This record gives sequence, C-alpha cells and structure tokens, in this order.
Amino acid sequence: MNSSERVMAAIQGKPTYRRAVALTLSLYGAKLINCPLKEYYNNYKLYAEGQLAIRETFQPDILLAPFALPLLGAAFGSRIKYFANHPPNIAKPVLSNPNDISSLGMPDIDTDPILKYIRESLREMVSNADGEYPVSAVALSPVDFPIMILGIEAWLDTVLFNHDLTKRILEISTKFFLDWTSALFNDGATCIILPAPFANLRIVTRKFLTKTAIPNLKESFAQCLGPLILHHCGTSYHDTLPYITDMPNTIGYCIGKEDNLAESRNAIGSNTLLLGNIDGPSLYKRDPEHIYKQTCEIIEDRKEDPHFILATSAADIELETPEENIQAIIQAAKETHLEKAGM
Amino acid sequence: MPSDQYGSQYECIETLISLFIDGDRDEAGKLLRSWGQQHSYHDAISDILEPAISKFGHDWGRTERVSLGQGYVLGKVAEDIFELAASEYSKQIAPAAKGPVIMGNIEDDNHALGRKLVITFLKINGWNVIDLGNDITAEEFIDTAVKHNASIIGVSAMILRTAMNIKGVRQLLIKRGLSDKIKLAVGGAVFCQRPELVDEVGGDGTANNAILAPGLFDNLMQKTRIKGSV
Repeated sequence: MNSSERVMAAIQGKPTYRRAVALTLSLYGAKLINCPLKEYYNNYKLYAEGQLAIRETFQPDILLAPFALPLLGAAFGSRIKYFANHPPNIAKPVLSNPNDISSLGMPDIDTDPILKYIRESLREMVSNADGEYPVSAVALSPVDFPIMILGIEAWLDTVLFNHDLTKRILEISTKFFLDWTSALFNDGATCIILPAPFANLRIVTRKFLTKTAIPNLKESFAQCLGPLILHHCGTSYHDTLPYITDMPNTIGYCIGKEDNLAESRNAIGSNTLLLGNIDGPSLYKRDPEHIYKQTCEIIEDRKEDPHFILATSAADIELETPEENIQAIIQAAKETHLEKAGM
Repeated sequence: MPSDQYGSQYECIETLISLFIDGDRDEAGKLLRSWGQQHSYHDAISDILEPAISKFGHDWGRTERVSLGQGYVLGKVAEDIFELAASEYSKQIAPAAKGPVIMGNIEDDNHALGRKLVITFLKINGWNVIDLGNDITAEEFIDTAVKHNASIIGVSAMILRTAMNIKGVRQLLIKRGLSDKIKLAVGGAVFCQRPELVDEVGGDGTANNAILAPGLFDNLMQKTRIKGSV
C-alpha cells in the first residue's frame, strides 16, 4: 500500500496496515537542502527539491505545497519580510484603511510571479509524486484572506462593527478564493488545507461565526472543485467544531494540541477525517523517546477510528528540530500496527 | 434613555456582560451612557463597567463564551466611556498615576492587536504607558526603559518563533545588571497556548488576557519595590 492508497483508505474508512502520517514540513525542506529561506520561498524548483528531500528522508504520507500564506497578501501588494529561520510574514498590509477596498487590484492568477511560484511548486511536486503520495495545497478561506491585505486588527474591527463593508470585502475575497482554489485543484492538489482563524470562536464572536462566516463558507466551499480540510490555526477547535461539521466539500478537520481526540471525533461525526494531535512547533525541544511514546499512545487511542490521520498541529515544524525527533513519529507509526475495528 | 430601562446595578452589570458576549458595542455603550446620564460617567465606570470587566476577564480564555473579538469589543466600549468621562468629568478621573511602563511587540513581530488591548486596560487602570509599537529590538526596549526610569517592560508576541526573540531582552537585562530593577512581562496568544514559554524566554510573568494584565503589572511593580528596599 503506498501513501496515496493509505490516505485514501483513511478518507474512505477502509482497513490499513499502519496509520497514515501528515507532518507540517513545508519549512523543513529548506534545511534538508541547505537553502536560504528567501530563495526557498521564491524559487519553485528549490521548494520542490526541498519537499522531495522531505519525502526521501521521512516518508510522510502527505506533502505540502508552500505553506506561506502571507505570500498571498504579497501578491495583492502587502509588504512581506523574509526571515532566516521561519517563513515570510506580512510587514505592512496593502490597505491601511478597509474602506479603500474598492481600489484593490486583483492579481492575475496565471502571471503574477508570487502566485506562479506557489502554483509551479505544486505542479512540480505533483509531477515528482507521480500518484505515489498526495500533495496538499494550503490556502485561506474567504473570511480569513482579508487578514493578508488588512491585518488582523483592521479586519476584526470591520467584521465586528461594519457589516456593509464586511460584505463588500467578502465579495472580493470570495472571488479570489474560488479562482485560486480552482487553479490549485487544476494544478493537481489532492486537497486544500484551510487554516481558519476567523471561523473559530476563540477569535470571533458567535454572531459573526453563525450569521456571516458559516453562510459564506458554505456557499463558497460548495463551489470548490475538490476536497477541503479545515485547520484549527493554532488555537483550540473544541468550541467551534460543533458549528462547522456540515461544510460542503470538507473531508476533514485538523485539531489543536489542547483538543481532545475523542471529543473532537464526537463533534465531527464518525465518517469524517480527523487529523492531529502532535504539537509540531514544540517538537524541537523534546526527546525522540518521548515523542515515540506519545505517538504510540495516540495511535493506540485512535485504534478503532479508521478515519484518523496522525498529524502535527499548529504551524510548521521548526528548523532547529533534530531529524531524529521527526523520525520518531514515523517510526512509531510504522511499528504500531493496526489490528482492530476493520483495520 | 433612562437607566431604569436596564434595571438595578446588578442587572446592568449582567446585561453589560451579555452585550460583551454578543459583541454588541452600540448597546453596551447605550447602557453605560444611560447610567452615566443618571449618575455620572465616573459612576458608570466604577459601578457598572469595572465589575463587568472583572467578571468577564475571569471567564476570558476559560470558556468558549469569551473570544478575542469579544475582548476587542469590550476594549472599544471602555475607550468610548472613558473618553466621555474624561471630557465631562475630568476632575473626577485620576490621571495616570502608575508607571511609566514600556510596551511593544518583540523584534520581527507585527501583530499589534493583543498589545493594543493590553494598553487599553493598563490605561484604564491608571498606568502611564509608553508604546513603542511593533518589531522592537531588545536594545530599544531596555534603552527606553532606562531613559524613562520604567520598572516594567511588557513584550508581546503572537507566534512561537517571534516569542523566542524575547530571550534577547532577558539576556540584555542580565548583561546590564537590570534584572532586579526592571521586570519583564510577556504576553500574546502563544503564551496562552504554551504557558511554559514564559520561563523559557525569561519572563517574570504573564496574564492570560488583556483584562488581567493590570493585575500582573501591579504585582511586578510590587516586586521591584520589595527588591529595591532590600
């Protein structure tokens, strides 16, 4: 059984010999090929080479196209800053005033150099994978993308206090979401992962979630050309999951480190993918034995859950993480065989 | 709108909390202005807003009832009523009596929202705050603190990678022999999710949300005084 088959089995709830593993190793590829991050996040050949090295070194079952969402903001004119040890971030959003949204130009998805970098990375990775393993893209939902052009505070202020302007911004954001995800699916993305802070009750009010965010997401997700996975985005999903379990085209939910796997499973139902629950960003400071043990415990806990994929939560695994810490997860998954409940 | 529309003081506090939870800035403002018109804006703050904030802050981060958005609404409501009180009852409002303290986001961190909320609640509690903004180096924090004779530096970071840059502030405080004189408060979303980070970056304390920040700063100030008197 190859990685694609293993992941497909998890989606369909079919038996597998071992658990599928998804690790957030977008950044880490740069370390394996010893590539400065500014080059890594601008040259698609280097990014794809780094991800090939990830596959050869760790053999995770899913690889990620560039996980650098601020690049989307940069394509619209936001200023980004590159760092030596982590992905680029927004230094200055393109709009200082949300009311200027009508002046915002839409980048050409086929010719914009930043968007081309992401798409060519994805296409190169899909070509390298040759069906052996899935390649997921990472994007932002219509209710989250405005963060990249306005900043969190201005967008939060808008959604809380200016309904009409929120609606206008969401029209633009939704158009970009649909165009962008269509392009990514056409480029070969197996699925698209959507970190969604503005569809999370730890960030927004219940009123915004239920009256604005969820209706928008339902309508836009229904038009997507492929499967989506909603991601907790660094904060707990516990309170939010019950509200977002019936989203169109959504095949799975990736939970946070503080979320309980069994409770999350109850919230999303028994036939949807559940992903987690290893804290990716803190792996650098733990020892491999402890990581191995924790991974075995998670697999044991989920042994009767065929729709579970062992995954790291939150942001990228840090560059300073020793390789043996990552190998400990893979090793535990390979050595902990599944024997029960249709496995 | 008469204040009796909202009932007794207790009922007003409970209603105000409900309005914060709904994120309803307009109605919350109306309630406080109504109480202020019948009593005074100073009373609206001390009798209604402050008890509501206290209760709300206790829940913030503990239950799904309180989100960042709701905290943001609360901050805006507080700013609105303080502005009214300051303009019409300036004699009754105590000027900033505590501090100064230095606030900023650590080097490479541009997520200002949490810091701004903390500053709002520090000011409400009488702190004189010098806000340095985003992307501030260890040298800038400490040089400013020394220049203004500040006893507390408050450093904010939203994500793990930038939070680790706070170590530089601690290292520089040690290098300059200032650890007893200047306390380091750390905060931001990542510290709520990873409380062990406070020690890891060398922080002297944190608060789980902006409402609890003034209490933290009071405690840290007391520690510098105790240390100074030894």
